[in-house]
Amino acid sequence: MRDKVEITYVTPAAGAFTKPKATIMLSKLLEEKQVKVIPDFYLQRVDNERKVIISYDEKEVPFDLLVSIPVNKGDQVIENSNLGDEDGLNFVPTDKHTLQSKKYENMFVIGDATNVPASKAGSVVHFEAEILIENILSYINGQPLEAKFDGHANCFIETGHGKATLIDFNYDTEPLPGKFPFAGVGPMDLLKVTRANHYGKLAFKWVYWHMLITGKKLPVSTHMSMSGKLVEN
Amino acid sequence: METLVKTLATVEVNAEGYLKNMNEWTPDIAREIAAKENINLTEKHFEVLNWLRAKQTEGVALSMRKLGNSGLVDIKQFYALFPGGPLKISSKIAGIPKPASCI
Repeated sequence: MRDKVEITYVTPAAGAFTKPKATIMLSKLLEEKQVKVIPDFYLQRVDNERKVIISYDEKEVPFDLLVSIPVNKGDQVIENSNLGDEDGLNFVPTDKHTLQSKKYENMFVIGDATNVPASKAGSVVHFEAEILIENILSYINGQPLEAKFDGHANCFIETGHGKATLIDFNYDTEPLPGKFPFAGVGPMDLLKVTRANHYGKLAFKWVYWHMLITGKKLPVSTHMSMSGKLVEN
Repeated sequence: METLVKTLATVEVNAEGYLKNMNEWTPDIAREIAAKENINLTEKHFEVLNWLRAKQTEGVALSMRKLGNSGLVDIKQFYALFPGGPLKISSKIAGIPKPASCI
């Protein structure tokens, strides 16, 4: 069946991902899976009669079945409270390291509510929470906000057939290959498609409910660790 | 008397051709970069470039949407001025870093 279906991934970004090393790896993966990538496509409108999507520079891509992702916005409550940024996306202007609101010093922001330049992933909220708590306590006690969020994010990418890949990165370090979470041991591999990564993803479901939510210590640090990552120059 | 004129050849750029220091930018350098992108800069182009530079100085994370809300151009006009990938091309010509994406 798959060989009878053409799949095209159309994205406003410059490639399959936004960071160079992960883009190379994910582009190869999409090529193997015979998914065509059309980058730099900023969707203007859908012509459902002619079954084409049209970009702002009038490029057209035909479709039989369209799966489109709407603009990711913050909650209406942010707009109602006039707390959003100038983009009109309902994200609260936030200091990207301290997570303090840029407008109100007694307000701290987390997760999908912030405009920090990190992904809106669950892992990001988890790591932000550790910083947020420390800084709220410091603020209440009149102390400087010393905890700094580094933009740490990690996520599994399921690649099908019982395999997955894994990326771990922050504001300054793009996703790199290596072992995770333990250097040299893994058992998971960063930026590689493996069975162990898929099992890691399955195991995470249990870890989430029984360790993460219950506040037990995980072998993943709040700040991204370079341990286990391969850096080449 | 000889005067030292800054050109694209005398300033540092990164592997993708973005200026390493936005303060070294001059309108002439902008014209040089634009020529490589086959763009002939007009008054309107410079309005957008100056706006981008001002926002960059303020520390605002730039996006296509912000440009569309700038009151200078709508997204369609932005594409017409800088065809292909308007935000990354205009940023290069404006001498500011390539806009970072979060994902």
